[in-house]
Amino acid sequence: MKVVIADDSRVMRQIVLRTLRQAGFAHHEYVEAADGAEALERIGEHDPELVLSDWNMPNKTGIELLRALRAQGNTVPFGFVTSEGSPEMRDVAAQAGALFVIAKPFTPEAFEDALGAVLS
Amino acid sequence: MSLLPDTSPIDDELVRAVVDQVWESLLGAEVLPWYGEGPVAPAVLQAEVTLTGDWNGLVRIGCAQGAAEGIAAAMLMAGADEVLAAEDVHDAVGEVVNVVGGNVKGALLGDTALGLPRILTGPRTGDEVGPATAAAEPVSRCVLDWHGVPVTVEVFTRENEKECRS
Repeated sequence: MKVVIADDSRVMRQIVLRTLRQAGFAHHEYVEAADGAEALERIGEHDPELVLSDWNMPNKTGIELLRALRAQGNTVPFGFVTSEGSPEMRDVAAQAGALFVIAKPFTPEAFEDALGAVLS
Repeated sequence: MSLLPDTSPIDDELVRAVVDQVWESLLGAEVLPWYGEGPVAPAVLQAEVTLTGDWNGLVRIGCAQGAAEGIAAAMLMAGADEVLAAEDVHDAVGEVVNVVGGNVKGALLGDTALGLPRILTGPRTGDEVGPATAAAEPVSRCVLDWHGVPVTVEVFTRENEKECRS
């Protein structure tokens, strides 16, 4: 399966990748994007089975990315990995069509719980 | 007058709890308080993120370049001999302050937006965001020990953020 990881921090993308491997998801193909606009391009190119996105990013935020995808009719499973995990943000994310919100700092168990049903 | 509501939960205890969690999860390190003698020297590298909306303020991490490199190496699990690019060091410390800021935001009531992290390096001038001075008292300030070097984590409200910038 292909997974697009969108985060403006290269270091955080590396940490997300490492945590995904620790959570048992090492065998998937991961495509990185440095912001929401780049993620939209990568999703168009790669047609992934899952998108993991930061919320705060330059050019296009995570929620703008999700809304742009849904406006295009793209129903790719989408989850946020973000430093903000307030109930209000989770509501906004869910209403826009996100499957889950993983709050930073996170653990491999958080990825197992959230991604297991999608990637297994 | 501070914009921080009387009921704001932002204090040293909350910030320390956030820092504990971030240090453990992102850096794989236990938080140790700084017991060094004398005043903490002005930081060479500062990472900060703003909070705007119903609560306005700033979360800042300051440290020496060597501590920033150590933090980045811990996040990337880099080898002892590995030299990290300055871009990655700044990115790493920026992400630490971003996560701390996001968790501080989570403790606030109302509608507040988290900005993007930014990094300042080198000597400070009056026009830049400088290190905390005696006139700029943060609502919370923790000084941590990173392998023998102090790392400060501070939270300012808008009022004392302005004082800090002046």
